[in-house]
Amino acid sequence: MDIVLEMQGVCKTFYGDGVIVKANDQVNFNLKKGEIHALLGENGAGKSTLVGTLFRKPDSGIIRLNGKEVELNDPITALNYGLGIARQDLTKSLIERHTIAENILSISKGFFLSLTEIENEIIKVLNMYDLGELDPKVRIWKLSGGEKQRVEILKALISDPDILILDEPTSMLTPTEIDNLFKLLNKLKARGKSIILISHHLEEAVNYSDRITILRQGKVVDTIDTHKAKENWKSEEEGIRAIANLMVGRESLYDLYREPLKPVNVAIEIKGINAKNEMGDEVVRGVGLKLMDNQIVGLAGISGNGQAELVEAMLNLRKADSGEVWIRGMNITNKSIRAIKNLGVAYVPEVRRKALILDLSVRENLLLNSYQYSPTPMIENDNNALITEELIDRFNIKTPSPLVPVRTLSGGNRQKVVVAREFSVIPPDGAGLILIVENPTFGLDVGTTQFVREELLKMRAAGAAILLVSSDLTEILTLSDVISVMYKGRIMGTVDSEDATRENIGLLMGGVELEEVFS
Amino acid sequence: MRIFHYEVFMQKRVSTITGLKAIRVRIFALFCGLTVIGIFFGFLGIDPIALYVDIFWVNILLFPNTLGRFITLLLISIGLAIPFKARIDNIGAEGQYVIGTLAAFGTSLYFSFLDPVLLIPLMFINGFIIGAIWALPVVFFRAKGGFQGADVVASFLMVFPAVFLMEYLVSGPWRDRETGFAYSSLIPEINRIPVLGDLKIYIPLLDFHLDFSSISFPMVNIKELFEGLSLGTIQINIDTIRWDFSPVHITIFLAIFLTLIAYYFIFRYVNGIPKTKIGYEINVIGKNPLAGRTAGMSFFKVILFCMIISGGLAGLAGVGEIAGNQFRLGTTSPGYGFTAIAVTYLGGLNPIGILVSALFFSVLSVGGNAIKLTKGLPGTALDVFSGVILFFVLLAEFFFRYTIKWRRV
Ligand SMILES: Nc1ncnc2c1ncn2[C@@H]1O[C@H](COP(=O)(O)OP(=O)(O)OP(=O)(O)O)[C@@H](O)[C@H]1O
Ligand SMILES: [Mg+2]
Repeated sequence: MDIVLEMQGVCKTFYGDGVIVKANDQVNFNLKKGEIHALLGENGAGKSTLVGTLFRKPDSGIIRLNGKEVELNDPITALNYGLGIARQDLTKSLIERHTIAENILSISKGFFLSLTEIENEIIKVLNMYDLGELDPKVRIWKLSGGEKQRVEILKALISDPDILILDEPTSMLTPTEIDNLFKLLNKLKARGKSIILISHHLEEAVNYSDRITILRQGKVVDTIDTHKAKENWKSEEEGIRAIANLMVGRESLYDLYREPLKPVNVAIEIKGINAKNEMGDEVVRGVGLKLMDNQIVGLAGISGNGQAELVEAMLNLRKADSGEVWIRGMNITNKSIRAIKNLGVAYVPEVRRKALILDLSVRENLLLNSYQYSPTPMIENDNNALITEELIDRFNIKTPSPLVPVRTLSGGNRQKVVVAREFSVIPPDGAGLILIVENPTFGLDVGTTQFVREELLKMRAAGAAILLVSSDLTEILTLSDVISVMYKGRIMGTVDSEDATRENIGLLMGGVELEEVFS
Repeated sequence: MRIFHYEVFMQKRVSTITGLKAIRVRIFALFCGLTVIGIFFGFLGIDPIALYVDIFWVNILLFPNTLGRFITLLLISIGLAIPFKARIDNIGAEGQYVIGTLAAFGTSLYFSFLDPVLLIPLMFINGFIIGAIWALPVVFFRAKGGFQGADVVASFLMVFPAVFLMEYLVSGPWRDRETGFAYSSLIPEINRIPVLGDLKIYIPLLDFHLDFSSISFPMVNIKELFEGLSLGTIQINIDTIRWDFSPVHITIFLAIFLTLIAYYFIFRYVNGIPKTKIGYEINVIGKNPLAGRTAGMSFFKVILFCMIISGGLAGLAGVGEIAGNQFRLGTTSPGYGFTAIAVTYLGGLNPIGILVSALFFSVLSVGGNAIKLTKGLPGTALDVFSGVILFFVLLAEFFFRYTIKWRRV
């Protein structure tokens, strides 16, 4: 097979706060025509940086397209050479205030642009590639995470690139959407297109890729032929473990154990909540939930079915039209978010923009809760500095220094900052923690995902009440004691984890009534 | 952008320029600004070098006047730095200042039965409160109105009622009948803020009296220099220069004290963390209000705090200026509130930087005023000064975040 893209000795260094980060160090990488090449590695390994150098040239190193050396100075040049990319950081690559069509001006030709033409083209391509429904006239900020991700993929595809680069394209997609995406990738592959796939869902790499290149600390560890390797792996599971070990450099995956516990105290109870979304549609309709200490309640559902709005209404970050919220026997409906959080509530929002201040340092981001622990108007600086050092250490946040802006961290490490901060909330006088997490392992590498899930279980054992909102069924099934499924703003049913299977939860998520599923 | 064979583009810096390097860049920006102004004056047929040299010497001679101006600019600018840091654009400090001057005069008028020991502090208190109240619409429109830019609009619009009120009072109820011009009467001498001119400092152990009213020093060696200068109407006693510190009222100590307080409690970082909760909240709200809100911070409270301080300090500046320096109200607003915006940005939104930049603008303003008389420049020439300087300073802000790069294509 011909090599369409070859990168040789690629280096990219970042300078920040007097520290030098070699994000890519003499990387050699090649992509064959008609292959899916998975690019894997831990958070901060340099994957996004590497594909980024195809759109803004690296510090040094050679890039050849079809054997010819090229200089890819800017995204437009790259686009003209037939490269398309769906980026990981959507806050940077999609403009929130603009419509979908306005975000996809790349295909406009000539001097004048016609939005109608682009809108028609978008609809055509959506149908052709089976990417589901999207209204090109809708503004980005109104979309759910998954929808944004589909826009980003569409943006990459619409120019019909020969080399398609997908940086964590599936992190917010539903299982069906993921299936569709890979069907599409296979079709493209058959048409001779080449694909670079970056993902932390290793099963995707094992099942769909032709080759796998693994990065560790900016260097290539190995490139393996997936088809050959599969002959040695007895199962998908074993393949995943083998790759994970290569990524981390040691044994890293093992089974989680959820010890049986008998929850007794009700930590938080919500009754009949109704709430609207930004557009004024009623997206939470009479939801009731009960969360006990020592318990993980999984709130499953395809993202965009009102889960995020429910949580926001619960925390009074969004106005609830009706309903009540009780924490440990106290009615907290319409209390301020500060008052609610002070009862020992921690919250990891799905939208990172709500949790991180990108321009402030890692340290300042880590103390967004703990800064107010002192009784005076002063902050206990030394103590807080110490706390943040510990968190960086414990959650293995890869940052050159606690004082660099969070903006410079890799996607996964940003998420670690949020998780580290919220998992370390100290509830007042010995009360149990109430932890509300939305997609906590979003963008995290396998090792860290494992770590975060373990932490959740540890906190559960220590008495925390945890509401786990996740679109990742595996996560819900391995961690939850009780699973509630949300569909179109309603709880379809609540199932004990013993009775829950991938199939019956999946049916509930698709809107099938509980009685039908369990009949 | 493409220029001949080179492609020129801007790129975000990995880390924003801060600290010493930022100061160097600012000084450079200042220098560029002065050059451009120089060229501008050059076209008007004024030798810019001579102009700057004159400005320098005028300030040496009139150093106490420079300090007097410095007090006003410093107070307003420190107040502005706080909302600016929270990304609340209070561009209406002028109104808050003007209303402060009215508060001072009104207090002296209506509370004249009070002993000056009580009356003068009361002036400051009233100035602070009324200045703060004048800033409140910004809080409500910005926090509750929910559209960005409400702060700009509301704060600016509040300038006009303040100025109109001043015009009304000065030409009406508070008018001094004795003069033909629209001026208020003078604040009685006992109700004025003490000035350094008659302040005697007693240092116990050294048994040493420092009398600010007449610091004189011989100027033998630079005598020739002075003779070469064309300072027009300003009379110089060439053998001894006397600094008369009467334009410097003791508000200067208050201003410097408040500057240090603001630095210590709001702007200072220890271990990469601000010293106070409110300082941290201002940071967070300024950079990402959504995250602040999700974490439980009250946007409203932070804005309220910022605007009270900001309006209050501008009010204090007004009190100081009227009761310590001018002693009577006129009908025109002097524009200190607008100049202070430039001062604040030139100081890098940092009290220590603002100390320096306030001094710099005072030098410009006093120098410019004196030159105005001698060189026949219009008063608005001063606005050109601060406008151009501000432009370059904001440009420097841009370069802290971005670089311009070029490469061959
Ligand atoms: N703009 C930047 N400034 C400074 N350092 C940066 C910048 N972008 C990335 N880095 C650093 O480069 C390293 C590699 O980052 P990169 O985003 O490529 O990681 P990644 O492999 O994509 O990780 P993830 O799986 O978390 O997305 C990280 O250590 C990160 O801190
Ligand atoms: Mg990445």
